Amino acid sequence: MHQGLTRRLLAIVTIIMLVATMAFGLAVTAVRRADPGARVARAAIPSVVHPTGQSMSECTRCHAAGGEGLPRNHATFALSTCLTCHHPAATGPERPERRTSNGSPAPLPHPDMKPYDECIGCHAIGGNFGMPESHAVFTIETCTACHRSSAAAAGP
Amino acid sequence: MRLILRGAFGLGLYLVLILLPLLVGGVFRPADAPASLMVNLSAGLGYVGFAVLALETSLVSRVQRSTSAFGLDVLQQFHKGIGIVAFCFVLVHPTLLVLAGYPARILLPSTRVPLGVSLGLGAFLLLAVLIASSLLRKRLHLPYQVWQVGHGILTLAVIVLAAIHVRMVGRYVRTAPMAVLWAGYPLLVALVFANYRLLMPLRLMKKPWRVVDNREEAGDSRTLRLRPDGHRGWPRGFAAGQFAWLHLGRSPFSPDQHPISLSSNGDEAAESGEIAFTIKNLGDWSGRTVPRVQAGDRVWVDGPYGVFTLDREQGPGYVFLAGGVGITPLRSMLVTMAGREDVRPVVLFYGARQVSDLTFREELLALRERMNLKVVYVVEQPPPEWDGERGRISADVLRRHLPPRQYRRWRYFICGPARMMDAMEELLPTLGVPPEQIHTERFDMV
Repeated sequence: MHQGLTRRLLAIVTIIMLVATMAFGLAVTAVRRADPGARVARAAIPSVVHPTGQSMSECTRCHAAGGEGLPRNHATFALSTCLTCHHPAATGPERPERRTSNGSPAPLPHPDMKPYDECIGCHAIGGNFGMPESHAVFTIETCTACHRSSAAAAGP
Repeated sequence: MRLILRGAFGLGLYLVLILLPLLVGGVFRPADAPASLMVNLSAGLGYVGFAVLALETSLVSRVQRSTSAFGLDVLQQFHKGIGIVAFCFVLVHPTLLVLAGYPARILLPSTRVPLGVSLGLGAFLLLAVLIASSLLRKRLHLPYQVWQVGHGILTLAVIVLAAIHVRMVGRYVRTAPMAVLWAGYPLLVALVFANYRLLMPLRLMKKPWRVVDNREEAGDSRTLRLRPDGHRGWPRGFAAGQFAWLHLGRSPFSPDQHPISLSSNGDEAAESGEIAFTIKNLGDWSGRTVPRVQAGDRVWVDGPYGVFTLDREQGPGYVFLAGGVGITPLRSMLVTMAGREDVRPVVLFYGARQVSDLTFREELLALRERMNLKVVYVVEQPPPEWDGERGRISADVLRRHLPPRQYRRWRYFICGPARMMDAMEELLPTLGVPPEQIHTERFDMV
């Protein structure tokens, strides 16, 4: 009887765990896909329009909730990630359009691949930026096959 | 009824605790939550798998309240089974990520893979070692104490690495409610460990027992009789059929502890304070340490535990099926019934390889004078002059000795080697015995 009781308990708990995980996956995916704000927020990364010297290194002094404000999807970002994507206007490149005018993949918004040679550091795994849905089947090795660094893209 | 309610409450609480990350993560979603179904399913599997692993320690931490509804042996089997299920969950977790387009090489240890991901991989590999060492302990000839200490260390390592992995790479744990919840699981594990490894031994330290004698029994077994030393022992006695953890080391902090069935009268423990354990020589601790125990030695006893008891399973009659040293809890039931002058009929089937393996052989036969008991010894390799049953306990043997019809309403207690219990649990329903009247106790976990 105890053997049977254990098996029944295991089966019940496992089925409930699987159903709950499926429900979680379906629900959060549906809500996320239906959220237009999130898509708009990722459309463009503005440049920093002021110097980022020592006195202005603490972004959140001004850019915090109630101040200059942070986009809603930045709530969980760490302070140290700001300048990873927001480059000073005078020194860094503007974020390029997602596609160039002739429809080819956009160049990378980084000045060069270093220190960004580990794409998944930011994109997807543990990073703050996901990949487009259409990239789901791509592997990390193929990123730079299409996305060239902005310096290379500018070319001679 | 109270036990059913307690069991339902325990199961409900367990489910809430393992599914809480999904609820909190779903309600308090981060703005950058993944939009891929595969990635979200993967995250869900990872969170549930971690929560199950974090609660594994509490299942077997001997908290009386949590063991009383199901019994510690059921919880230990559940602990083993759900651990394997959790392993499957965390195995599928990265598999789904790779299917979603994440590079497969993140599953290999490398300095180019983010640290948080590598820690997750490390936790997974340690979990694989943890489960493999438990399933293969006997084949690997790993001593029980070594396995026990290693199991605890590996468990802590898996929980710590997995918690850091989730904290570093999980997007859902970046919201405040989920971060708080995520800090709660390692805290729970730490509290369970502190209670199990520190508070419980401290409580035991205050209540030592003295060995009265260490008697050799037939069947390569020994009986240790103990008396409380400076305290009242167990004022309410114990329920016949229960077991306790016996510490023979220098202190209750020593890992040298084993779950052993009590073989004495449960009611007498309340009166005289005396209890007894009968331990078969199985080679390691039981063969080396137990024979060296001497009268006057100080030991510690944590118990009583278990729901394999007469008092919990009342019936008009009983059938006891024993194999090897599995006779121990059944002997406790028999002497307790005899002491109570219980008139209900009992048929004991006791299987052994040889006649000399039958522990308590003469004593059990003598008990027939004091109670309504029929004893059937079934011996595989009997001497030529043996006039009892030969072979193993089978349907024919049962039919020959059980009363024609009443046996279907009696309660069945089975204790012995796992294979014998499996066979009996399969056989009895074919004879018309309802499964809910069959009770077993299994401790051959690893």
